[in-house]
Amino acid sequence: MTAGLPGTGIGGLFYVASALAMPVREAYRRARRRGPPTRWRFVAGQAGLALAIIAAMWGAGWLLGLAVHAVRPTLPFWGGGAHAANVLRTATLALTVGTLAAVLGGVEVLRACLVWSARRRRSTITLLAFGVAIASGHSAAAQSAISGQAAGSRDSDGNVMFRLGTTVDLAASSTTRFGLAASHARVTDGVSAAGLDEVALRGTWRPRRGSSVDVNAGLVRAAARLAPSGQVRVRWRRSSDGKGLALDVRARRGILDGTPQLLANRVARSELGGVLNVPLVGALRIRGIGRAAVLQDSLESNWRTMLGGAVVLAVLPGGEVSGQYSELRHAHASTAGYFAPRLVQVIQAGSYLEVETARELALALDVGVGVGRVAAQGAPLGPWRPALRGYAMVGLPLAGRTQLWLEVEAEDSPGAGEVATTPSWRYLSTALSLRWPLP
Amino acid sequence: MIVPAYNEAASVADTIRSLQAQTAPARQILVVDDCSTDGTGAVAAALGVTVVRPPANTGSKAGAQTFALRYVRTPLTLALDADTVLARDGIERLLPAFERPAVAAACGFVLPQRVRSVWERGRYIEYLFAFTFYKQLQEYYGKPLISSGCFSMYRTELLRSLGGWSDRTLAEDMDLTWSLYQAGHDVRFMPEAVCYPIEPRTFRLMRTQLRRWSHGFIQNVKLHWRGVLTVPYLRSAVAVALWDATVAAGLYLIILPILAVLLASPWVLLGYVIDIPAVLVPVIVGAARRREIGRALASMPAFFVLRTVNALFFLRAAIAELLFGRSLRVYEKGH
Repeated sequence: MTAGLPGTGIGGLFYVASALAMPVREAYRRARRRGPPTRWRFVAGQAGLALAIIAAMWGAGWLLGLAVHAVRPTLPFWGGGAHAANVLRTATLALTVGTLAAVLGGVEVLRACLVWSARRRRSTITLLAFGVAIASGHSAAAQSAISGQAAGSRDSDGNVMFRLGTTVDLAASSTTRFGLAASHARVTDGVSAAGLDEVALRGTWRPRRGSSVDVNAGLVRAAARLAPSGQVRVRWRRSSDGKGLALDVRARRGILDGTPQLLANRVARSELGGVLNVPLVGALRIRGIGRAAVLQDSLESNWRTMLGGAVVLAVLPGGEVSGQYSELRHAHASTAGYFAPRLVQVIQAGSYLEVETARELALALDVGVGVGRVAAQGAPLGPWRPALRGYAMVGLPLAGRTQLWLEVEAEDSPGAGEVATTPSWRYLSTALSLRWPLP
Repeated sequence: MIVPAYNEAASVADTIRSLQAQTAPARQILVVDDCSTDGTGAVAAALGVTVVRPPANTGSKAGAQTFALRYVRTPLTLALDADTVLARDGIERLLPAFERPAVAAACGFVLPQRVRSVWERGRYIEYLFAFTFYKQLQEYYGKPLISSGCFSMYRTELLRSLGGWSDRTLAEDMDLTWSLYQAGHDVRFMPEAVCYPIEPRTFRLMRTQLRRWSHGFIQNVKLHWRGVLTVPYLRSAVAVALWDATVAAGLYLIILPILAVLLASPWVLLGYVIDIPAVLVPVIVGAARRREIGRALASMPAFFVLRTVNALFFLRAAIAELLFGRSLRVYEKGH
């Protein structure tokens, strides 16, 4: 049998790279007098095959570029200039190479975490970060940055979380970034405490304003065990002014980290969700929201689905008001540490504002006010009670192009939070981060 | 030589004759008639080979082969599917692999016996591509991903010490290969040793085989991932194969059509065939060595059909095994 799909994905690139590495490896082996001496013909044959594949793909790309250039007026998404075909080709190659590097790097990190000692583990992560930096090239270093983040949160059950993290963000081109993120979090409820460590490779491709692909893959360590985590998020807007059709799709997997009990039970969430914005008339548009998640721990799996819709009116550049209705459902109750009601209904009026000044001062504000009600498993819906949410973010430019970001988030909404533990759960979180540009 | 057979009356005779005609003749040919109902055992016995029959159907190829292992009296054991014939020098070309004591298993080049239906043609291109390019590189780096179950040779004592072929996954050949690597042994791919299995000719048969292969691959990843991480190159090859079988399959099947609709442009669907040149190069090289360029070119469209179906099955298996924990356990015979 052949595992994988020949010719698709990153497999083809992996084997082409393997073939191109053969002459170097063989020369090294000859120099060290290792292995049988009659391999050169085979090595040359396979390396030649790889070069022929590259040449064939280059030729196909060139022909495609010509074809696309010829029919450009008929392609609705084709807003690029004369070099658009090259951009498409380069972006595809960068994405494939980046994905392959992330997968192979992820495997090495996983191996380092499992097999090597703690000292070597640190060395590997440092080397990987250094390798990504070298691979990204010095020309892009001016746009690269390193960030540090400290965040804290507290909820109505007395759970307190403190998180420290760092991110290395390297710009490979004007549209592509790669990076490495690591963080450590500590959660306590006053009686017990638990830790969570995360390390992830990140990649972002922004082909144009408003559209992006973010990939994040890594490992999370909770309750002395490792688990994979990651996210793929695709954001697309038909027009760059933000007024047209827009889609935001996200798939993610991670460990719920709101309480020591959730961490002890290693509750993993695998979620697929999306938001679709459809313009109607003028500044009016409708928004559909859907998410489906599987919550798994060692004893059970539970489905959580969320469906919602909103009518949105753009009132200012970067601002909107909306009326939103959403329903959250769980398949059954859980003893793993999260609140799993049969149904939660929330109706909210909200407003969102995003401002960025010429001096790079950024401000975002999201407020929602409404009502919500909860039906426990096997019980009817309870009474309506207030449902509030708020989020504010301020970005301040400091000396030397350093930026300071402050985020505050609060929620008082029945059972609607990601890691809500009771029907009347409330929480407040703040995060402070500094972003230094790399020289 | 072990030939596991369940209802293979139509093909087992060709398999046995190809073994009897080998330039390096077999000392012992054991056909395991796994309680067939079509007279497979009688067909084999008429050709003068030893036929053994378990008391009840073993339920899998792994079970049938392991049952026969107790009757093997030779230092090397060849496992050959009952729908597979060998080139006359197949065994002779495979034997040199065992000159190195560290080698525990060896496999050969696989090509479909019949290339008629769209599924057989798709598989023909898949094999030409994989065995001309991927598998040769895996061999160079010392880690063929799988010692193919349809035609592989093993050191008998080593095989016995591992308990034979395990039926804990649906891909017993992959399970055994990865177990051998983890135990520190080598596996070789000998491209000059050629075998010709009958590939699924209909979608129904192909579906059965792909279900088994896709679930078997994911089951082996789940079973061996910790051990595989300790084996250089294999860990990279497995990670890449897993990515392509899951995420890339999803992108291939879901994202491309969505993008085509969202962008209102059928040009996006070119993504399905954009890699024709990359596939074509090794295929043409492999076909030229066999003077089959015309057949290869005529079969190329079928490859893209099979690849799409392949992606669907691998994605389904990954979702079932990894997301929902629904493991496929019933071994269904396809081809």
